[in-house]
Amino acid sequence: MSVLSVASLSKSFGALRAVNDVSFSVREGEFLALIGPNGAGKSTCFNMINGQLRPNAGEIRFAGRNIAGLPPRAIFRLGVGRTFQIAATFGSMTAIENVQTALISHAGETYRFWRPAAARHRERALALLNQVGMRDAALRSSRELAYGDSKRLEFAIALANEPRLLLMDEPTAGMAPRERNELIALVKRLVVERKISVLFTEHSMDVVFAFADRIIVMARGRLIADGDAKSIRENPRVQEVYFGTGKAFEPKPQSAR
Amino acid sequence: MSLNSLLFQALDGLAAASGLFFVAAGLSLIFGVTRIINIAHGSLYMLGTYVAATLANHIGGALGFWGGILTTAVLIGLIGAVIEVVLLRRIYRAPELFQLLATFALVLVINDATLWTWGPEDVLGPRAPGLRGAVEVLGRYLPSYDVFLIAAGPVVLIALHFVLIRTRFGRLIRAATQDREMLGALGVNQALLFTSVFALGSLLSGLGGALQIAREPANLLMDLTVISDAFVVVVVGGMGSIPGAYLAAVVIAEVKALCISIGVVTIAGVAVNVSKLTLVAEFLVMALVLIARPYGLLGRAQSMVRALAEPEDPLRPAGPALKLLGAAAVVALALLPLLARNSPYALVLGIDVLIAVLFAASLHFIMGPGGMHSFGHAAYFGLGAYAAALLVKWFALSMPPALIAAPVVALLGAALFGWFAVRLSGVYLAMLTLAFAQIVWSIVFQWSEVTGGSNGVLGIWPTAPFDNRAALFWLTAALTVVGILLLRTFLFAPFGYAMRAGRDSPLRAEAIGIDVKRVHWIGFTIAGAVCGVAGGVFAFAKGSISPETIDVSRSINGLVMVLLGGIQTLSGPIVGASVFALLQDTIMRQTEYWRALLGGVILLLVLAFPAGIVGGLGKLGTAWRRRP
Ligand SMILES: Nc1ncnc2c1ncn2[C@@H]1O[C@H](COP(=O)(O)OP(=O)(O)OP(=O)(O)O)[C@@H](O)[C@H]1O
Ligand SMILES: [Mg+2]
Repeated sequence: MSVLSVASLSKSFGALRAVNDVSFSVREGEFLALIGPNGAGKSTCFNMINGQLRPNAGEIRFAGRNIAGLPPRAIFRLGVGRTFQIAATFGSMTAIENVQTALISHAGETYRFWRPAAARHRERALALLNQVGMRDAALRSSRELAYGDSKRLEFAIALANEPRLLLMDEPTAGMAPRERNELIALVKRLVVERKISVLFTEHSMDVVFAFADRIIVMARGRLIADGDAKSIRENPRVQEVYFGTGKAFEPKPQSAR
Repeated sequence: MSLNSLLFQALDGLAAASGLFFVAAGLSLIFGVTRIINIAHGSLYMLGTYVAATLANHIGGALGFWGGILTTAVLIGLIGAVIEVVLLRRIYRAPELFQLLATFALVLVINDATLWTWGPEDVLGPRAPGLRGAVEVLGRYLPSYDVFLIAAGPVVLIALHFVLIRTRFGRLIRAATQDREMLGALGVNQALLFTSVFALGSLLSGLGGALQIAREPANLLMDLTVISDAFVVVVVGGMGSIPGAYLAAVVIAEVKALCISIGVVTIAGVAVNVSKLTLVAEFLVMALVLIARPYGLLGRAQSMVRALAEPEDPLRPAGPALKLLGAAAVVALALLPLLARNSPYALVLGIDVLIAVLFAASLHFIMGPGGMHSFGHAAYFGLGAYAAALLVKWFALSMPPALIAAPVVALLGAALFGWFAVRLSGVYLAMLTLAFAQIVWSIVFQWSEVTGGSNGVLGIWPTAPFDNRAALFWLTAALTVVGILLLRTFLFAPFGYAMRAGRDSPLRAEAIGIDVKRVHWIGFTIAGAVCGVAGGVFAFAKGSISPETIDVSRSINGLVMVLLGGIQTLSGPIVGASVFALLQDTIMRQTEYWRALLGGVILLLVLAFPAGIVGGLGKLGTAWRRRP
């Protein structure tokens, strides 16, 4: 059974068709990789699924309803967690406060004016930080965290609403190869334990081939392949867009966005 | 009203539009390239009027008038260059708000320099030699000088357009306005570019001022009125767009002209004097434009170049030292009336300081944690003050219910205006809040049957048991302390975290289910209500209020207080407001030129303590602890 199914999704920016008639689905408990060269439209897909962008056309079915065009906060409430390509955390808060803020929102306590936020959901926040290996950094200001650590923190935040679906846009961008593998292994372990479905993008092919249950490939806004690691490796169209240009099976340099 | 008179008024409007365009174009150019919002731009305009009128009067003749205008423009351009080199160059990297503070200090200094040089009397210029006559248009007489002004606007617009399109200087200006990184790549001498743009912008402002001498006398109020007009024009036209500035200047001038020519109309049996709308017309236009087109008529979304304020550290609950300090402050407040038996002035001053503190704390609530830089917080102060005063005047209410009504009315006003304001951010939000404050001001000013107009409301004295200074002081102190503690509690509660979350990263906040606009709207409303308390107390403390209560300068004073204390800390506004109010009081009693002194002090603080007083002390403390 699929948790998320996307049908004929399209988005244009002016004349540019960033996402063009894309359809795919994520099955329950699946660890699905969305790959493609820079500018393929991956982040744009994520942004439509989590409500940040309104699609020009197409359907996004999640939890039995069409969520296309709903605002991000409504989609969060339905059980979708999100991490960003460029880590987005609350810079004026400590790591644990970041997670607490998400837990507070999930518990519907945002409009409470009395009891301090710092006293709420502390244990649960610590447990989440512990799971992503950030317990020791709980009291550090999140804007002082190393980049890899902000990514972990984002992961903990994204888990706060006990999501059924996690959208992770380049969760390992800016990490060293070893750290990458560790983080993805951690994500995979947690999601298997909790039966969460994950849609993620990743530029390191080693990581993708090693961990993904299934891989879908985008290029220039279109979906060009869908299959397991072996069939993707051997797919001539994928080889063309990737190997042909000699590009992008490698991690891209930090400076690129 | 005939069609002819309407057209005639429209022509008159075009003449006014030209003057407005010159200042606004300069402001827009400077903002586009340096990203500095130069509040002192209006002061340069004022200076231009004084200098040109003086030259024309003393030299006389066509040479004195026309030569004087050109000389003035160049001179003001040079003054602009000096300001850029001496002051602004040091603070380009500072958060935007600090630059605002610095340029505001310049406003104060220039105003007093003008007062010192020319005295308090208005300076009248001569009529323009060669253009003293009038031309007959549509059966009426339009002064030739107005015809000249009508033409001057488009001429300067076209000239500027050519400079921007055809010259290397112009290309650099456009590059800097649109894409700052590209500028670095072009290998440009940035310092020189910035100085020359500042000089050009100032020259335009000086020219605009100088050309006014044949229309209106130079006076000391011009700086703030002109700058708020120019802001409106720039925001309506779109930041950084010169054609936008002209378009906006024309639209606004025409709307005003239209209001005048319509005059009194009867709507459903009620006579409405539309010409009274002129004072608010521009702000109404701005509010409408910003709601429909958040980046102005011809503007584009600004790439955020730099944070508005410095990043801040996580909130820490009050430690033992701070709690002790707070308790000591409360005890001191409680004892002051007893200690100050023989110096009644201490209590008067004390009440002023407390009101300033509450005002600043409520502003800080939205400015700091909410990231909403309101330039019109005086609106809610004024709503509170007028609500209390008018209830006393018209319904003979006693003090307690009037004081309860104050925050309620301010809350309603803040809820209404805030709903629009939170849809914008940065400079645009600042300008929209300013517009709303001006609208409130104008309503109060114009609706004299109810509000007493410019005379205000008199005789609002506290009733028993608050009818003596000591009791009033205690009441003010209690309200202030409670207000601050409430705001503080909110900030530490989930709501405050949500508000900061929305400021830090709207993207992340929405992705975890926070309705950022709603949270910020509620924050705005809370701040308005608390500010309304300060306004209500103010009305009773002074015994009379006038539209000055809602003046732009009160809003700006609030900004100064918050920034002076340091926006990143919760105690900042308290310290800042106290220091500001005390400084203002002591300096004011020392010298006639208190504005200049205050400006000097602010400049010194900005250069020496870019993180505000409390922030600066905190940094000193950290350095001290970390010493080897
Ligand atoms: N807000 C926007 N406005 C205009 N164009 C956009 C916008 N967002 C993305 N694009 C364009 O859409 C295309 C797809 O962008 P997207 O960010 O989805 O690619 P991506 O696959 O995530 O690439 P990367 O691997 O570099 O992150 C790109 O050409 C990009 O420049
Ligand atoms: Mg991307």
